[in-house]
Amino acid sequence: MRKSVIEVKNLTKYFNKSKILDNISLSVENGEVFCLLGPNGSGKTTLVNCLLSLLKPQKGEVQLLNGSADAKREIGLIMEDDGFYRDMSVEKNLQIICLMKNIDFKVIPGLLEKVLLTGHRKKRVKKLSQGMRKRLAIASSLIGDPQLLIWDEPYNSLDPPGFQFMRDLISELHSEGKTIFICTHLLDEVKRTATRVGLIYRGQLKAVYCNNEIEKKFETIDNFFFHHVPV
Amino acid sequence: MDLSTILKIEHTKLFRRSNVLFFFLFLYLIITPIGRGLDMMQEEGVVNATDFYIGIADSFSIFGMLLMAIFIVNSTGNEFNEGSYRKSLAIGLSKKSFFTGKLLLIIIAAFIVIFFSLLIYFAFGALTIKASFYELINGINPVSILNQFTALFLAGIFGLFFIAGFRNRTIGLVFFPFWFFTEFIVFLLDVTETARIPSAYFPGVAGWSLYNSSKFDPELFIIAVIIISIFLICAWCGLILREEKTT
Repeated sequence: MRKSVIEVKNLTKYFNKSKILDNISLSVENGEVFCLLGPNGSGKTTLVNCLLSLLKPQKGEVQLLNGSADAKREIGLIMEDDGFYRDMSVEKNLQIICLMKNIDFKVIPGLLEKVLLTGHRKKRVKKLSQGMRKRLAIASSLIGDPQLLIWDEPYNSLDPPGFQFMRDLISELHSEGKTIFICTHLLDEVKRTATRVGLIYRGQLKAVYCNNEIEKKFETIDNFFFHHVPV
Repeated sequence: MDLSTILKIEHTKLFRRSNVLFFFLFLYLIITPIGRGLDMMQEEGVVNATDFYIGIADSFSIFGMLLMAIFIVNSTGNEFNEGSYRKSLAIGLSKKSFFTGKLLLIIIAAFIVIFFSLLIYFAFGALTIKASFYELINGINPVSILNQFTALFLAGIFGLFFIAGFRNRTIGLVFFPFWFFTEFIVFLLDVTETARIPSAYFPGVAGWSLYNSSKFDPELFIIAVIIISIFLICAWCGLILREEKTT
């Protein structure tokens, strides 16, 4: 039986008086590539922030990796705002994450090679292009070989080779049995990579389907998306 | 997270470019009042190592405290602005560890300021008043060092309170010079008895008075400890009571 690695129950979040997340319940199982689709402002990032305990929901529960005490250190994370120390080098940024996760610095060269940033390791983050920063974010999320990856808008700023790299990486991580939770609005990438897709709109989880169910019911992922989200 | 890991993280962050530039600013601003102090000493003919030490320590007081507050605002404010604080929390750093790291940073920065004042005391003392090494050692007042450390810690905690509460680095960088200048005016009004203002209880004046005190004054010390406690509690509340929304 597959274990649930992300468990969200009746999650409700308000900012002032506006309801951003409305009674969301969701379960992501071990080994899945779960893509959360939704237009801008639908609540995807707020949901991620609640998952990571950066925001406290008014109602509901969130459990990651079965409530493991060290769960956060076992998560690989890409945040919408990359969160790097901009006037520090690529290498130093990764070293800080290694220190926080109690991982040896030896993993850094391999990760930089994987995301093609070896030649930029001494560069300050603010000197990197947006796409390079995203690659660095991908490298930082892989520190410590985490079981669960939570990626918020991982495709932003990537060039076509970057997209291909992401597809290959997701496929590789999926075959290793990792769980990947991706928030995005790029329908084509979701179609190519997801095993299960959720759709959030105006703070409500409208639907959750396996990728092949979407094909059967809606033919294309665009039809699925626009069936729930008015143009 | 253990203390050594927190220290390693703060050590790595200490050498970021904005802090290194800050260090040069620190050197420049520190040397300026020392030069003035040395001129005054030469005019007044001070040759006693103890007085010379007090003179050097005094010349660090305003800039030492001001720079300490601004340094903490700058380095911590950068982390809030660029989102690295949120990311650190998301990958497992607790707010308690972050706060501990900042306290350690203030302690380290206070030791650096005191170390520089001692270094300059020894270097200039040997050259200016031609004192021997033992005379210079005997001239150091341990109580004065404790007072300086407490005052610098107060200034750092003041900066931490401000940035943890308001989360705005730019306002913080403008606020502190303005604040200390205002306190200086208030202090002058109080000292000259132009107006009766309890300036001794203001954080800048309390810290400055303690910094310049060469003996243990329980009243000054207690005022500083109370102010530190208030700022510490407020800074901690500023961290834990606030939600970490996307920047």
